[in-house]
Amino acid sequence: MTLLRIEGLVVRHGLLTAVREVDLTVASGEVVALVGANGAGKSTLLHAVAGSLPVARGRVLLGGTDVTAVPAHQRVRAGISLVPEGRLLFPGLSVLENLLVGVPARSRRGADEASALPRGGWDVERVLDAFPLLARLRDRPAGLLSGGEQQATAIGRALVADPALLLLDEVSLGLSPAAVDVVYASLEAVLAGGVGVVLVEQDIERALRTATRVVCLLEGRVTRDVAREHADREEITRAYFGTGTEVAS
Amino acid sequence: MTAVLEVGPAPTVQVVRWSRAASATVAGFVVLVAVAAAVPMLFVPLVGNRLTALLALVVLAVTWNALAGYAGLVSVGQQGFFGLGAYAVLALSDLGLNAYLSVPLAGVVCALAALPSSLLLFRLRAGQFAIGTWVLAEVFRLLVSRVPQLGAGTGRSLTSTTDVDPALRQAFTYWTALAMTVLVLVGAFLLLRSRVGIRLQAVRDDENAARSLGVGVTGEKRLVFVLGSGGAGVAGAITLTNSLTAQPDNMFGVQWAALMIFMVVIGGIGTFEGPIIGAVLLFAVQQLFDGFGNWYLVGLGVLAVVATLAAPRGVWGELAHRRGWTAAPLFHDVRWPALPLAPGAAARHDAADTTVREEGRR
Amino acid sequence: MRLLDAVVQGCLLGGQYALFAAGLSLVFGVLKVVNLAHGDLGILAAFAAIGLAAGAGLPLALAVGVVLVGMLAVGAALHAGLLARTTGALPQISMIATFGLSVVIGNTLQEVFSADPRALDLGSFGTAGVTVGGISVGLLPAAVLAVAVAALTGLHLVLTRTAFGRRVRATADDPATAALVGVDARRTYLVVTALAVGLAGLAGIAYAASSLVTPLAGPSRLIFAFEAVVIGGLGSLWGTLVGAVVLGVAQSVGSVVDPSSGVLAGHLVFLAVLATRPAGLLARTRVRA
Repeated sequence: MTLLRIEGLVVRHGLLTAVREVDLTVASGEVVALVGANGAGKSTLLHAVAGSLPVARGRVLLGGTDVTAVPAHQRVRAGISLVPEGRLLFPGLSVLENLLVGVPARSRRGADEASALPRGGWDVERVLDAFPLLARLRDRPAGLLSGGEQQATAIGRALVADPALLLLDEVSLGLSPAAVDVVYASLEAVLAGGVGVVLVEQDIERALRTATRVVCLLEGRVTRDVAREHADREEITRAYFGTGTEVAS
Repeated sequence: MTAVLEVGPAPTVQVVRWSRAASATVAGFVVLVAVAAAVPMLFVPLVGNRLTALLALVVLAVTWNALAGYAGLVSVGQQGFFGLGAYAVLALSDLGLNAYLSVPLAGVVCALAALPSSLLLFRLRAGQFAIGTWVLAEVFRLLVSRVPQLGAGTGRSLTSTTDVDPALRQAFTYWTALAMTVLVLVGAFLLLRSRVGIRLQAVRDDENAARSLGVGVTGEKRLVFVLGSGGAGVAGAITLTNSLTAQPDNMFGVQWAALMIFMVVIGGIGTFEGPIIGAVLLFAVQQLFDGFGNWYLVGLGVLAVVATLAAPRGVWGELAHRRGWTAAPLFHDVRWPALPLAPGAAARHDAADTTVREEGRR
Repeated sequence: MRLLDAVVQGCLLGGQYALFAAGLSLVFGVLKVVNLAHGDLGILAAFAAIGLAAGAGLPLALAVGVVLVGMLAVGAALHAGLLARTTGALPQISMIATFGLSVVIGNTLQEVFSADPRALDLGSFGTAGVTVGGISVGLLPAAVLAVAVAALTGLHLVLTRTAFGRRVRATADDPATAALVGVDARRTYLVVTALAVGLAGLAGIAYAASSLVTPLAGPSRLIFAFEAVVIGGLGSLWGTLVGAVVLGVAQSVGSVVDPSSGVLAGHLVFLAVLATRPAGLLARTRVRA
């Protein structure tokens, strides 16, 4: 079923238009890799979906419900969780407390349609099981973690809200190759869980290995949208660097 | 179109720092000062007395705005330097100095006192700095209250000018105030237009961006704090030569901070022209509602709160924002000749233009 | 003996300052706004309680209860009506707005209640005391200190042990990210402001019960509370208590040395701490990666 539908989305940063007329759908269980150069609008698109950036035009629908006007914190309850670039943990809170902040305040009342969405059934216990690293570090202040540990905490913090749609923004950025492997290994449990995932990843190789679908963004527009099997590496690279972009989806 | 392409070598970017409106302002300012200087010859002494009070307000507003609106130093304790300036005149004239010469010297005294104060206060961040300055003002008040020669807690009069003919005394007082006001206005204008002012505005408008360009401004902030406190001291000195009596609870009273903040917020914080307008508005309010006691202060407080909610740019800031007015050219108009985007358009960046800044912050 | 007595009285006085400081420090820590009307809000509560108890003849406990609930509402209104709405040319504009509010509250109280000093009458409890080893300890000041310790302990437990406390600390760290994990930052701010103003009300009532109050006493309460917070070290509730006691002792001992310089002695201790230990007496050495 269609989990996320984006229609004619326009997002501006002041006078700059970062996302132009983007249409995109994501189904439950799909892993969509958003690729594109720096400044192509990938992160902006994720933040607009998560509700932390205002939308100039267009709509964002989650499970058929228009959430364009819903504030970010309520979208979490509706089923959208974002793991932001740079992790952005709460440094004054311990690892466990960082996870617990992500737990919804009350039972999900008033989100009837949204709660019907397929979710992974995540909670704090399952996160600690899936990320043994976090169980070991549970009482350590988040400000004292290494990059990989921070990333695991950030992913865990997003998961405890039991999202239907998980948005991952540059989860490998600034991590050692070994740490990236650890992070992606732990993501497999998430990806297998049936939730929809949109990931922004600089590492095209890794993105192609993980994703079921690849969407290329160039200057705020979707230039390619293909299933992974049909994704030709060279073609993606071309889209990435903005050469020969006349091909539309 | 083709003409643009045919412009030979690389077009030069022109930075414009002056405008016709600015020339008009300077001319108007000179005329105004000349007329103002003639006031004691033309009108009854009382007017001179009141205008002196207005000039003290202008000095207070302009210097507080330099602190809060440009250097980001919201001080709730400038009454400390105001009172110190007033008492410096008392002390200096006790030492035999001419009371009117003591006025600029009082400013120097306050600036000197502000320098070590800043070493302590600058350890406090934004909001804490405000209360820190307030504590300092209280310390000044309590210390002065302990000096019997200065009248201790009950206060004292300035006696060195009593043998002068009252009308002449008021004229002298007024001229001194006028001279000091002109000095403060011109000084503030030149300072804020200088490198110091530009760096401060850059940090105020976007601290992170400025820092990434290597602009750190502690030295500039300290300079503005020292000079601005000297200015507050001058205003206190003017007020003393005008009212002739000083009493610690009044001279160091927090109501002066309330007046400074009111004038700047209503007139337009972070603009050069706004505080002057705010001073004139406050002066008018004082003339109209004199004798309403505390309700007058309540009214000012309500207006200030409403202004921060409804029109945070203040009177002048709103006008400048909507109409693009600038009288005092603190701006840099960067004119890019023959840009295909918007030929002749000026990317203006000055104190009054807050659009880009606000969008950046949200 | 006189000195020891002064130290004991100073510690008790510290209880009053700690109550004022708790709310101030809470709002500053979470919203990063210094509420310059904090002291005046306490004085407002004091006069409201005096008005209800002495003026309208309500039983004391009821009057205090009504005022405290009222102050929570005032705090919520302060956030919704002022702090959440002030977005101006300057980040400090909301602080400037609270200064305007301070002027409004103080002068309105002065017009309504006149400048005469008043007190909240607690009957015999207000003057009762016990003498321990030649030093008399008033029951009321002791009770105020106990309430302050209880309030700070309660605040500490709420912030460290509850889900609400986690949300508050997360919002204080980074409101935008807190929203991304489902925290309603605006609501958190509102509840925090309400709590802080409620604490200011409690402090104001304790103050009015302990000594005479004038309508314009708010700024001095604000200053003492602020000094307590800075002396103790920002971000530490226990530091606030220590700072408040240090300030109280400095003032009380200062008055013994010279009856008119108690307050000045407190200010000088504050400045001395600022000069030598700007992070406060109890500052934890920051350990951060």
